Amino acid sequence: MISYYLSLVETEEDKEKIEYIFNTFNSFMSYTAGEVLHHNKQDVEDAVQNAMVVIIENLKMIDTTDYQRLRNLCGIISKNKAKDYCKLKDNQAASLDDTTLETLSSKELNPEGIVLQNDTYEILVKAIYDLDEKYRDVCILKYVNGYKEREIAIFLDLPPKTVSTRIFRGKNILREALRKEKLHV
Amino acid sequence: MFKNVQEEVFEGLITSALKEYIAYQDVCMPSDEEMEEMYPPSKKKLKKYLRMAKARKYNVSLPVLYLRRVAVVFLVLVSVTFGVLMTDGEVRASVRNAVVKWYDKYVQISFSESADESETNETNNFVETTDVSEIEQENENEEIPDMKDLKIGYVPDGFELLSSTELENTKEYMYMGQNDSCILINIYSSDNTEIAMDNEHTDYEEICVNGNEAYLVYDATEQIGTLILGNRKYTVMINADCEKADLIKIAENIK
Repeated sequence: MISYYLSLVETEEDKEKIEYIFNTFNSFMSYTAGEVLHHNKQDVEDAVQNAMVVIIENLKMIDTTDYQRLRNLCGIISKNKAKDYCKLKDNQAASLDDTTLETLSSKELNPEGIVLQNDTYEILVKAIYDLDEKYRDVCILKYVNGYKEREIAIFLDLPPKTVSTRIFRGKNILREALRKEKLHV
Repeated sequence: MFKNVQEEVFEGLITSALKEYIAYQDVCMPSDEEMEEMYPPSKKKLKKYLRMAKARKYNVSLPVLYLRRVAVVFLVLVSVTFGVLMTDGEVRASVRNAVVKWYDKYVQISFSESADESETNETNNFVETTDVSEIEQENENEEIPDMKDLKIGYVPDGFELLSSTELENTKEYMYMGQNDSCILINIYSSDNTEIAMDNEHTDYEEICVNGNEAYLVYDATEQIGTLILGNRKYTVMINADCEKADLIKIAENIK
Protein backbone atom coordinates (compact mmCIF):
# COMPACT_ATOMS: atom_id res chain seq x y z
CA MET A 1 0.00 0.00 0.00
CA ILE A 2 2.80 2.37 0.90
CA SER A 3 4.55 1.68 -2.38
CA TYR A 4 1.29 2.49 -4.16
CA TYR A 5 1.08 5.85 -2.42
CA LEU A 6 4.73 6.52 -3.22
CA SER A 7 4.28 5.57 -6.86
CA LEU A 8 1.75 8.36 -7.20
CA VAL A 9 4.31 10.93 -6.25
CA GLU A 10 6.13 12.21 -9.28
CA THR A 11 9.90 12.30 -8.99
CA GLU A 12 11.27 15.76 -8.43
CA GLU A 13 13.97 15.21 -11.06
CA ASP A 14 11.42 14.53 -13.80
CA LYS A 15 9.40 17.54 -12.77
CA GLU A 16 12.45 19.76 -12.85
CA LYS A 17 13.46 18.45 -16.28
CA ILE A 18 10.04 19.15 -17.76
CA GLU A 19 9.94 22.61 -16.21
CA TYR A 20 13.41 23.40 -17.57
CA ILE A 21 12.61 22.17 -21.08
CA PHE A 22 9.32 24.01 -21.11
CA ASN A 23 10.64 27.29 -19.76
CA THR A 24 13.75 27.25 -21.94
CA PHE A 25 12.59 25.79 -25.23
CA ASN A 26 8.81 26.09 -25.46
CA SER A 27 8.94 29.29 -27.52
CA PHE A 28 11.76 27.94 -29.66
CA MET A 29 9.89 24.70 -30.29
CA SER A 30 6.74 26.66 -31.10
CA TYR A 31 8.63 28.86 -33.52
CA THR A 32 10.28 25.86 -35.21
CA ALA A 33 6.92 24.13 -35.58
CA GLY A 34 5.41 27.45 -36.69
CA GLU A 35 7.87 27.61 -39.58
CA VAL A 36 6.31 24.44 -40.95
CA LEU A 37 2.75 25.26 -40.01
CA HIS A 38 2.73 28.90 -41.21
CA HIS A 39 2.51 30.03 -37.59
CA ASN A 40 -1.05 28.88 -37.20
CA LYS A 41 -1.20 29.09 -33.41
CA GLN A 42 -3.66 26.27 -32.86
CA ASP A 43 -1.74 23.88 -35.10
CA VAL A 44 1.57 24.94 -33.56
CA GLU A 45 0.22 24.26 -30.09
CA ASP A 46 -0.89 20.77 -31.10
CA ALA A 47 2.43 19.98 -32.79
CA VAL A 48 4.45 21.22 -29.80
CA GLN A 49 2.27 19.20 -27.48
CA ASN A 50 3.01 16.09 -29.57
CA ALA A 51 6.70 16.93 -29.39
CA MET A 52 6.48 17.35 -25.63
CA VAL A 53 4.83 13.93 -25.41
CA VAL A 54 7.90 12.41 -27.12
CA ILE A 55 10.19 14.29 -24.74
CA ILE A 56 8.18 13.33 -21.67
CA GLU A 57 8.08 9.68 -22.73
CA ASN A 58 11.86 9.66 -23.10
CA LEU A 59 12.88 11.89 -20.22
CA LYS A 60 15.48 9.40 -19.06
CA MET A 61 17.36 9.76 -22.33
CA ILE A 62 17.36 13.53 -22.17
CA ASP A 63 20.34 15.35 -20.78
CA THR A 64 19.53 18.86 -19.64
CA THR A 65 23.12 19.82 -18.91
CA ASP A 66 24.04 20.46 -22.57
CA TYR A 67 21.96 23.45 -23.68
CA GLN A 68 22.85 23.38 -27.39
CA ARG A 69 22.38 19.63 -27.70
CA LEU A 70 18.96 19.80 -26.08
CA ARG A 71 17.98 22.82 -28.14
CA ASN A 72 18.82 20.97 -31.36
CA LEU A 73 16.90 17.94 -30.20
CA CYS A 74 13.82 19.93 -29.17
CA GLY A 75 13.88 21.86 -32.45
CA ILE A 76 14.14 18.74 -34.58
CA ILE A 77 11.46 16.87 -32.66
CA SER A 78 9.00 19.75 -32.87
CA LYS A 79 9.80 20.25 -36.57
CA ASN A 80 9.14 16.57 -37.22
CA LYS A 81 5.95 16.63 -35.22
CA ALA A 82 4.84 19.68 -37.19
CA LYS A 83 5.51 17.81 -40.44
CA ASP A 84 3.59 14.82 -39.11
CA TYR A 85 0.77 17.17 -38.16
CA CYS A 86 0.75 18.57 -41.69
CA LYS A 87 0.50 15.09 -43.14
CA LEU A 88 -2.23 14.21 -40.70
CA LYS A 89 -4.31 17.23 -41.51
CA ASP A 90 -3.54 16.87 -45.19
CA ASN A 91 -2.48 20.44 -44.94
CA GLN A 92 -1.07 22.27 -47.90
CA ALA A 93 1.69 23.57 -45.77
CA ALA A 94 4.91 23.98 -47.60
CA SER A 95 7.59 21.39 -47.12
CA LEU A 96 10.21 22.13 -44.56
CA ASP A 97 12.85 22.55 -47.20
CA ASP A 98 10.84 25.28 -48.88
CA THR A 99 10.16 26.91 -45.56
CA THR A 100 13.80 26.88 -44.62
CA LEU A 101 14.85 28.38 -47.89
CA GLU A 102 12.05 30.90 -47.62
CA THR A 103 13.25 31.89 -44.18
CA LEU A 104 16.78 32.18 -45.37
CA SER A 105 15.92 34.33 -48.37
CA SER A 106 13.67 36.51 -46.27
CA LYS A 107 16.62 37.16 -44.06
CA GLU A 108 18.76 37.74 -47.13
CA LEU A 109 21.03 34.92 -46.21
CA ASN A 110 21.67 33.07 -49.41
CA PRO A 111 23.26 29.65 -48.77
CA GLU A 112 25.16 30.13 -52.01
CA GLY A 113 26.87 33.04 -50.36
CA ILE A 114 28.22 30.76 -47.68
CA VAL A 115 30.51 29.16 -50.20
CA LEU A 116 33.27 31.67 -50.45
CA GLN A 117 35.98 29.37 -51.67
CA ASN A 118 35.68 26.32 -53.76
CA ASP A 119 37.19 23.86 -51.34
CA THR A 120 35.93 20.59 -49.91
CA TYR A 121 34.57 21.93 -46.66
CA GLU A 122 32.57 24.75 -48.21
CA ILE A 123 31.12 22.49 -50.85
CA LEU A 124 30.06 20.23 -48.01
CA VAL A 125 28.37 23.10 -46.15
CA LYS A 126 26.48 24.03 -49.30
CA ALA A 127 25.53 20.39 -49.85
CA ILE A 128 24.14 20.27 -46.33
CA TYR A 129 21.88 23.22 -47.11
CA ASP A 130 20.69 21.40 -50.20
CA LEU A 131 20.27 18.15 -48.32
CA ASP A 132 16.73 16.95 -47.74
CA GLU A 133 15.55 17.83 -44.23
CA LYS A 134 14.84 14.19 -43.36
CA TYR A 135 18.49 13.26 -43.98
CA ARG A 136 19.86 16.41 -42.37
CA ASP A 137 17.91 15.98 -39.11
CA VAL A 138 19.17 12.46 -38.45
CA CYS A 139 22.70 13.56 -39.36
CA ILE A 140 22.53 16.47 -36.90
CA LEU A 141 21.28 14.21 -34.14
CA LYS A 142 23.96 11.63 -34.86
CA TYR A 143 27.04 13.69 -35.72
CA VAL A 144 26.46 16.92 -33.82
CA ASN A 145 24.44 15.74 -30.84
CA GLY A 146 25.99 12.28 -30.58
CA TYR A 147 22.75 10.36 -30.20
CA LYS A 148 22.72 6.68 -31.07
CA GLU A 149 20.63 5.54 -34.01
CA ARG A 150 18.31 3.70 -31.64
CA GLU A 151 17.71 6.89 -29.65
CA ILE A 152 17.12 8.93 -32.82
CA ALA A 153 14.56 6.35 -33.90
CA ILE A 154 12.72 6.82 -30.62
CA PHE A 155 12.81 10.62 -30.74
CA LEU A 156 11.65 10.83 -34.33
CA ASP A 157 9.20 7.95 -34.05
CA LEU A 158 10.89 6.05 -36.88
CA PRO A 159 12.02 2.45 -37.25
CA PRO A 160 15.76 2.14 -36.42
CA LYS A 161 16.37 0.72 -39.90
CA THR A 162 14.96 3.91 -41.46
CA VAL A 163 17.30 6.02 -39.35
CA SER A 164 20.31 3.95 -40.48
CA THR A 165 19.19 4.21 -44.10
CA ARG A 166 18.71 7.97 -43.85
CA ILE A 167 22.17 8.46 -42.37
CA PHE A 168 23.70 6.25 -45.06
CA ARG A 169 21.84 8.01 -47.86
CA GLY A 170 22.57 11.46 -46.43
CA LYS A 171 26.27 10.69 -46.36
CA ASN A 172 26.11 9.33 -49.91
CA ILE A 173 24.40 12.49 -51.14
CA LEU A 174 27.10 14.63 -49.51
CA ARG A 175 29.81 12.40 -50.96
CA GLU A 176 28.20 12.67 -54.38
CA ALA A 177 28.12 16.47 -54.06
CA LEU A 178 31.89 16.42 -53.47
CA ARG A 179 32.47 14.04 -56.38
CA LYS A 180 30.55 16.36 -58.70
CA GLU A 181 33.01 19.08 -57.84
CA LYS A 182 35.76 16.52 -58.43
CA LEU A 183 36.70 16.70 -54.79
CA HIS A 184 37.44 13.74 -52.60
CA VAL A 185 37.96 13.27 -48.91
CA MET B 1 42.41 0.84 -42.42
CA PHE B 2 42.88 3.76 -44.83
CA LYS B 3 39.21 3.59 -45.71
CA ASN B 4 38.26 3.82 -42.04
CA VAL B 5 40.43 6.88 -41.53
CA GLN B 6 38.98 8.41 -44.69
CA GLU B 7 35.47 7.72 -43.35
CA GLU B 8 36.28 9.28 -39.99
CA VAL B 9 37.70 12.39 -41.65
CA PHE B 10 34.59 12.62 -43.80
CA GLU B 11 32.32 12.28 -40.79
CA GLY B 12 34.36 14.92 -38.95
CA LEU B 13 33.86 17.29 -41.88
CA ILE B 14 30.14 16.53 -41.93
CA THR B 15 29.95 17.31 -38.20
CA SER B 16 31.68 20.66 -38.65
CA ALA B 17 29.54 21.52 -41.64
CA LEU B 18 26.37 20.61 -39.77
CA LYS B 19 27.45 22.77 -36.82
CA GLU B 20 27.95 25.64 -39.22
CA TYR B 21 24.53 24.99 -40.66
CA ILE B 22 22.98 25.07 -37.17
CA ALA B 23 24.83 28.29 -36.38
CA TYR B 24 23.39 29.87 -39.53
CA GLN B 25 19.95 28.63 -38.62
CA ASP B 26 20.26 30.31 -35.23
CA VAL B 27 21.30 33.55 -36.88
CA CYS B 28 18.26 33.35 -39.16
CA MET B 29 15.94 32.83 -36.26
CA PRO B 30 14.44 35.59 -34.21
CA SER B 31 15.90 36.14 -30.77
CA ASP B 32 14.56 34.19 -27.78
CA GLU B 33 12.69 37.30 -26.62
CA GLU B 34 11.02 37.69 -29.99
CA MET B 35 10.05 34.04 -30.01
CA GLU B 36 8.66 34.36 -26.49
CA GLU B 37 6.57 37.29 -27.66
CA MET B 38 5.21 35.20 -30.50
CA TYR B 39 4.66 32.13 -28.39
CA PRO B 40 4.54 33.12 -24.73
CA PRO B 41 4.92 30.17 -22.36
CA SER B 42 1.97 29.80 -20.03
CA LYS B 43 1.80 28.18 -16.62
CA LYS B 44 -1.38 26.43 -17.70
CA LYS B 45 0.50 24.62 -20.45
CA LEU B 46 3.31 23.67 -18.10
CA LYS B 47 0.80 22.21 -15.64
CA LYS B 48 -0.77 20.29 -18.50
CA TYR B 49 2.59 18.79 -19.46
CA LEU B 50 3.35 17.87 -15.87
CA ARG B 51 0.00 16.12 -15.61
CA MET B 52 0.70 14.36 -18.90
CA ALA B 53 4.07 13.26 -17.57
CA LYS B 54 2.49 11.82 -14.48
CA ALA B 55 -0.24 10.06 -16.46
CA ARG B 56 2.22 8.63 -18.99
CA LYS B 57 4.66 7.55 -16.34
CA TYR B 58 2.07 5.22 -14.90
CA ASN B 59 0.59 4.42 -18.31
CA VAL B 60 -2.88 5.63 -17.43
CA SER B 61 -5.23 8.21 -18.87
CA LEU B 62 -5.83 11.47 -17.02
CA PRO B 63 -9.35 10.54 -15.77
CA VAL B 64 -7.94 7.29 -14.37
CA LEU B 65 -5.18 9.28 -12.68
CA TYR B 66 -7.79 11.52 -11.03
CA LEU B 67 -9.84 8.50 -10.00
CA ARG B 68 -6.72 7.00 -8.43
CA ARG B 69 -6.16 10.18 -6.52
CA VAL B 70 -9.74 10.08 -5.22
CA ALA B 71 -9.28 6.41 -4.33
CA VAL B 72 -6.09 7.18 -2.44
CA VAL B 73 -7.76 9.97 -0.46
CA PHE B 74 -10.68 7.65 0.29
CA LEU B 75 -8.34 4.87 1.41
CA VAL B 76 -6.43 7.24 3.66
CA LEU B 77 -9.69 8.43 5.24
CA VAL B 78 -10.88 4.85 5.73
CA SER B 79 -7.51 3.86 7.22
CA VAL B 80 -7.55 6.78 9.64
CA THR B 81 -11.16 6.04 10.67
CA PHE B 82 -10.33 2.36 11.12
CA GLY B 83 -7.28 3.26 13.17
CA VAL B 84 -9.34 5.49 15.43
CA LEU B 85 -12.05 2.84 15.83
CA MET B 86 -9.46 0.19 16.67
CA THR B 87 -8.54 2.08 19.81
CA ASP B 88 -11.82 0.79 21.24
CA GLY B 89 -11.57 -2.65 22.87
CA GLU B 90 -14.94 -3.92 21.68
CA VAL B 91 -14.17 -3.04 18.09
CA ARG B 92 -10.85 -4.84 18.34
CA ALA B 93 -12.58 -7.95 19.66
CA SER B 94 -15.22 -7.87 16.90
CA VAL B 95 -12.56 -7.47 14.23
CA ARG B 96 -10.60 -10.36 15.65
CA ASN B 97 -13.67 -12.59 15.61
CA ALA B 98 -14.56 -11.58 12.09
CA VAL B 99 -11.04 -12.29 10.85
CA VAL B 100 -10.99 -15.70 12.53
CA LYS B 101 -14.38 -16.58 11.04
CA TRP B 102 -13.46 -15.44 7.53
CA TYR B 103 -10.22 -17.32 7.52
CA ASP B 104 -11.28 -20.29 5.44
CA LYS B 105 -8.30 -22.48 6.16
CA TYR B 106 -9.65 -23.23 9.59
CA VAL B 107 -12.67 -24.88 11.03
CA GLN B 108 -13.78 -23.47 14.30
CA ILE B 109 -15.96 -25.60 16.48
CA SER B 110 -17.64 -24.26 19.59
CA PHE B 111 -19.20 -26.37 22.27
CA SER B 112 -21.46 -24.45 24.57
CA GLU B 113 -23.91 -25.30 27.27
CA SER B 114 -25.93 -22.11 26.87
CA ALA B 115 -29.41 -22.76 25.53
CA ASP B 116 -29.72 -19.50 23.60
CA GLU B 117 -26.99 -20.40 21.12
CA SER B 118 -28.33 -22.26 18.16
CA GLU B 119 -26.61 -24.69 15.86
CA THR B 120 -25.20 -23.14 12.71
CA ASN B 121 -23.77 -24.94 9.75
CA GLU B 122 -22.31 -22.44 7.35
CA THR B 123 -21.24 -23.33 3.84
CA ASN B 124 -17.68 -24.57 3.57
CA ASN B 125 -17.69 -25.12 7.30
CA PHE B 126 -16.16 -21.85 8.25
CA VAL B 127 -17.91 -22.00 11.58
CA GLU B 128 -19.54 -24.84 13.36
CA THR B 129 -21.36 -24.11 16.53
CA THR B 130 -23.07 -26.99 18.22
CA ASP B 131 -25.66 -26.34 20.82
CA VAL B 132 -25.07 -29.22 23.16
CA SER B 133 -28.45 -28.81 24.77
CA GLU B 134 -30.16 -29.86 21.51
CA ILE B 135 -28.06 -32.97 21.20
CA GLU B 136 -28.80 -33.59 24.81
CA GLN B 137 -32.53 -33.51 24.08
CA GLU B 138 -32.09 -35.95 21.22
CA ASN B 139 -30.10 -38.31 23.39
CA GLU B 140 -32.20 -37.71 26.43
CA ASN B 141 -32.22 -41.30 27.47
CA GLU B 142 -28.50 -41.83 27.11
CA GLU B 143 -26.47 -41.32 30.20
CA ILE B 144 -23.30 -39.34 29.61
CA PRO B 145 -20.37 -40.43 31.74
CA ASP B 146 -18.37 -37.85 33.63
CA MET B 147 -15.11 -36.74 32.15
CA LYS B 148 -13.12 -38.31 34.95
CA ASP B 149 -14.67 -41.73 34.24
CA LEU B 150 -13.76 -41.75 30.54
CA LYS B 151 -11.52 -44.56 29.35
CA ILE B 152 -9.77 -45.12 26.03
CA GLY B 153 -11.28 -48.40 24.87
CA TYR B 154 -9.41 -48.90 21.63
CA VAL B 155 -6.16 -47.98 19.93
CA PRO B 156 -4.97 -49.65 16.70
CA ASP B 157 -2.44 -52.46 16.91
CA GLY B 158 1.17 -51.37 17.27
CA PHE B 159 0.46 -48.25 19.34
CA GLU B 160 1.60 -48.06 22.94
CA LEU B 161 0.81 -45.51 25.58
CA LEU B 162 3.77 -43.14 25.88
CA SER B 163 2.41 -40.59 28.31
CA SER B 164 -0.80 -39.58 29.99
CA THR B 165 -1.81 -36.47 31.89
CA GLU B 166 -5.01 -36.22 33.89
CA LEU B 167 -6.02 -32.90 35.41
CA GLU B 168 -9.33 -31.55 36.65
CA ASN B 169 -10.47 -30.02 33.35
CA THR B 170 -8.26 -31.77 30.85
CA LYS B 171 -6.83 -35.16 30.02
CA GLU B 172 -4.14 -36.00 27.51
CA TYR B 173 -3.00 -39.40 26.24
CA MET B 174 -0.18 -39.94 23.81
CA TYR B 175 0.37 -43.24 22.01
CA MET B 176 3.38 -43.98 19.83
CA GLY B 177 3.40 -46.53 17.04
CA GLN B 178 5.88 -47.74 14.44
CA ASN B 179 7.67 -45.23 12.18
CA ASP B 180 7.06 -42.41 14.67
CA SER B 181 3.31 -42.52 14.09
CA CYS B 182 1.39 -41.01 16.94
CA ILE B 183 -2.06 -40.77 18.42
CA LEU B 184 -2.82 -37.83 20.67
CA ILE B 185 -6.12 -37.77 22.53
CA ASN B 186 -7.19 -34.64 24.41
CA ILE B 187 -10.30 -34.49 26.50
CA TYR B 188 -11.55 -31.12 27.76
CA SER B 189 -14.44 -30.25 29.98
CA SER B 190 -17.18 -28.70 27.84
CA ASP B 191 -17.07 -25.26 29.28
CA ASN B 192 -17.44 -23.16 26.19
CA THR B 193 -14.65 -25.04 24.49
CA GLU B 194 -13.56 -23.57 21.15
CA ILE B 195 -11.30 -25.55 18.87
CA ALA B 196 -9.81 -24.30 15.59
CA MET B 197 -8.38 -26.75 13.09
CA ASP B 198 -6.28 -26.33 9.98
CA ASN B 199 -8.32 -27.94 7.20
CA GLU B 200 -6.14 -26.92 4.24
CA HIS B 201 -5.58 -29.79 1.74
CA THR B 202 -7.85 -32.07 3.78
CA ASP B 203 -11.35 -33.50 3.51
CA TYR B 204 -13.80 -32.20 6.03
CA GLU B 205 -16.89 -34.12 7.01
CA GLU B 206 -19.44 -34.38 9.75
CA ILE B 207 -20.11 -37.82 11.10
CA CYS B 208 -22.05 -39.40 13.92
CA VAL B 209 -20.16 -41.11 16.73
CA ASN B 210 -22.20 -42.89 19.41
CA GLY B 211 -25.17 -40.65 18.60
CA ASN B 212 -23.12 -37.48 18.94
CA GLU B 213 -22.22 -35.18 16.12
CA ALA B 214 -18.51 -35.29 15.34
CA TYR B 215 -16.24 -33.40 12.97
CA LEU B 216 -13.59 -35.20 11.02
CA VAL B 217 -10.73 -33.56 9.13
CA TYR B 218 -8.72 -36.19 7.30
CA ASP B 219 -5.83 -36.12 4.86
CA ALA B 220 -6.09 -39.40 2.96
CA THR B 221 -2.71 -38.96 1.25
CA GLU B 222 -0.75 -38.57 4.47
CA GLN B 223 -3.19 -40.70 6.49
CA ILE B 224 -3.38 -38.07 9.18
CA GLY B 225 -6.62 -36.89 10.70
CA THR B 226 -8.31 -35.07 13.51
CA LEU B 227 -11.65 -36.00 14.94
CA ILE B 228 -13.57 -33.81 17.36
CA LEU B 229 -16.69 -34.73 19.19
CA GLY B 230 -18.41 -33.21 22.13
CA ASN B 231 -21.37 -33.23 24.44
CA ARG B 232 -22.61 -31.35 27.46
CA LYS B 233 -19.87 -32.63 29.70
CA TYR B 234 -16.74 -32.96 27.61
CA THR B 235 -15.06 -32.44 24.28
CA VAL B 236 -12.70 -34.99 22.76
CA MET B 237 -10.09 -34.20 20.17
CA ILE B 238 -8.13 -37.03 18.57
CA ASN B 239 -5.12 -36.37 16.36
CA ALA B 240 -3.85 -39.57 14.80
CA ASP B 241 -1.56 -40.97 12.11
CA CYS B 242 -3.78 -43.88 11.17
CA GLU B 243 -6.54 -44.95 8.85
CA LYS B 244 -9.83 -43.13 8.93
CA ALA B 245 -11.74 -46.21 10.13
CA ASP B 246 -9.31 -46.62 13.05
CA LEU B 247 -9.68 -42.95 13.95
CA ILE B 248 -13.46 -43.29 14.10
CA LYS B 249 -13.16 -46.53 16.04
CA ILE B 250 -10.94 -44.82 18.65
CA ALA B 251 -13.60 -42.15 19.08
CA GLU B 252 -16.41 -44.70 19.35
CA ASN B 253 -14.54 -46.52 22.12
CA ILE B 254 -13.94 -43.55 24.38
CA LYS B 255 -16.59 -44.28 26.99
